[in-house]
Amino acid sequence: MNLRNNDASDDAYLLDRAGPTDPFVRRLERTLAVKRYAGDVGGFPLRLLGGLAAAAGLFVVAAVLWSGEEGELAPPPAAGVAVEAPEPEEDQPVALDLPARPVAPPGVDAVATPEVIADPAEPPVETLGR
Amino acid sequence: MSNPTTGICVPRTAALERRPNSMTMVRDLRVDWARRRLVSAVLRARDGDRAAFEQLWERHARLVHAILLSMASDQEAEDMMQEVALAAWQSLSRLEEPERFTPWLSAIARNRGRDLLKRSRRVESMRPEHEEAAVAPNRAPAALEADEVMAAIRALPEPYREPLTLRLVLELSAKEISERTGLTPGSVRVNLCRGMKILRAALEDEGTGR
Repeated sequence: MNLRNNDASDDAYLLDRAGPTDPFVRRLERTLAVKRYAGDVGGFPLRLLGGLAAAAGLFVVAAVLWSGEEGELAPPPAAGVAVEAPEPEEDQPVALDLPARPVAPPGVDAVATPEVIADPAEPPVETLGR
Repeated sequence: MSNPTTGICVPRTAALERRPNSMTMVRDLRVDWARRRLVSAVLRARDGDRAAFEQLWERHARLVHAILLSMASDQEAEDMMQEVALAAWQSLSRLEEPERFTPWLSAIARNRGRDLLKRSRRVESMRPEHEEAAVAPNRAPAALEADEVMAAIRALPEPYREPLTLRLVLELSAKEISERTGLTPGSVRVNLCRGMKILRAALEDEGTGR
């Protein structure tokens, strides 16, 4: 890119697009045109927000289901029948009866949990003037 | 004179200049209508309307990306877009002046981008010596690519990076940059002028020094 031999005035690049602009600036504009954002401008934030909402909803549903799920009661033993509690096998640790963690739905980033949302970082508007 | 794409007859510039009042009036009406639409969308989004927020984001995604691009690489800028969108969504309820949504969002992008860069400890990789190290040696000036120009812009003093990026990537005028970033028009003009001089010298040195 030949960046020399331009005789533009100092403020030529301050003009609007329709105005006569410095060739140097024109070349940079053409070069950097590929840097314009061409991504999914509308989809991903809402998908992300929707995913977070779905994860939160699933968490609530799972918590409700787990809290109400006591299991069916075993029938009472017949009269005269001795009931022995099963003993754990040796050399095997007794497993804790912990509920399974709610699983995020497919496609939802497991990191994006409600705990993450609850950490907003808001830049102050007063910094606009820099 | 007929527009080849639309087929609509368009008066020449001289004819437009003879009727400055009506053209100015039409332009003002368009600006006013766009402003009203923006404020309406901001108010709805502030009340929790996701569709309205989506509209706002679609209108501002390129601006946000360009601001992030002035401080980070392409991939980092794209990654940070989601964080900026979330931060804006979460703090929108505290926006007191809906008509200033665009500069407010620009400030969020600017500050959030800085925070994320610090947090990820990738600031060091943004320094020019690292970027220059990645450039292949004996590269001809004609092969100067967009990445190199952006690296040169990011190597400038901070006040010049964002106005130059918005000017060169989005082709915004100084007035448009001022309206979108909240910076004063005078600051934008000065920063553009000085930044462009430094950038020109840097690229000339780079192009002729090899």
